[in-house]
Amino acid sequence: MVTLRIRRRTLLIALALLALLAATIGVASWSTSTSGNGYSKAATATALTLSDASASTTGDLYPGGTGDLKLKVANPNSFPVRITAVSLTSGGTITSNIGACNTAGHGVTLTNQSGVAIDLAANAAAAVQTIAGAVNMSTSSDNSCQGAIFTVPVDVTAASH
Amino acid sequence: MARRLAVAAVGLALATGTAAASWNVTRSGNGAAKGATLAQGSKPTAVKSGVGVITVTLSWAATPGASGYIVNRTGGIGSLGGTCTVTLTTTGCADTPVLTLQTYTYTVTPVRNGWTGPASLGTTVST
Repeated sequence: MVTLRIRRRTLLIALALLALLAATIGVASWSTSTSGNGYSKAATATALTLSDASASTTGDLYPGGTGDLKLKVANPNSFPVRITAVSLTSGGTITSNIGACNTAGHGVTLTNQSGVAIDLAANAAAAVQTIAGAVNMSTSSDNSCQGAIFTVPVDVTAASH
Repeated sequence: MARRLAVAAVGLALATGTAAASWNVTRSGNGAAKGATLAQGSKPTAVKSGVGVITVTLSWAATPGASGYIVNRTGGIGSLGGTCTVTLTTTGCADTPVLTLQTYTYTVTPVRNGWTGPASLGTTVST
């Protein structure tokens, strides 16, 4: 009888230790996935696909004003995702399609967006998404920048949803 | 005690497993934006008034996106006067005094900071 009690206690302690070990491993995996190489239990996560959105832009940037940022995004994953943040790529430079505008100064900047909530369905084809008011143009923007299309290098962060 | 420890540990493991099903991933690429274009200024309306000291009162429709307007006058003798000589934030001004027996043509150019739109069609006035 005494032997049985000891065995049961030993078994429970062993079970607890195993569970804690498994939890530790799980936490280690989770930290890795948040750094960019994300994985789910069921499938390997693939980064979103970004393509040229310039054809979808509308001329709404004036000196001293703000305009929309257009992103053309596809979700190649078999599960829905949510875009949660958009920021200027580190070291990235915004350029226009007009040389004189680049030379004289366009004054265009991006306000990094952290509170974004754009949902993409599973296997969503490339579609244009709008980040309203994310792009700014300074009052010193050169006259040659009228009608210019600006390429904005961005990092788009998405989460499984 | 050992049983409680085991239950708590198993619960923690399950909770951690659930959290690990979610992930974040970042992709670099290009977004796009576009600069506006200031439209051509609206052709002004000109009304002549006064005897002796003649005034030409101009008015025009606003141009979307413009924050100001520059009035230009060609033809005749003399130069633009009155309230039309500065960059205007309103859509009208009075050119005074103007000389008699002259023919003037007025145009309006929309501006916004360093941007300038195309000048309007001209409106001609004979004094």
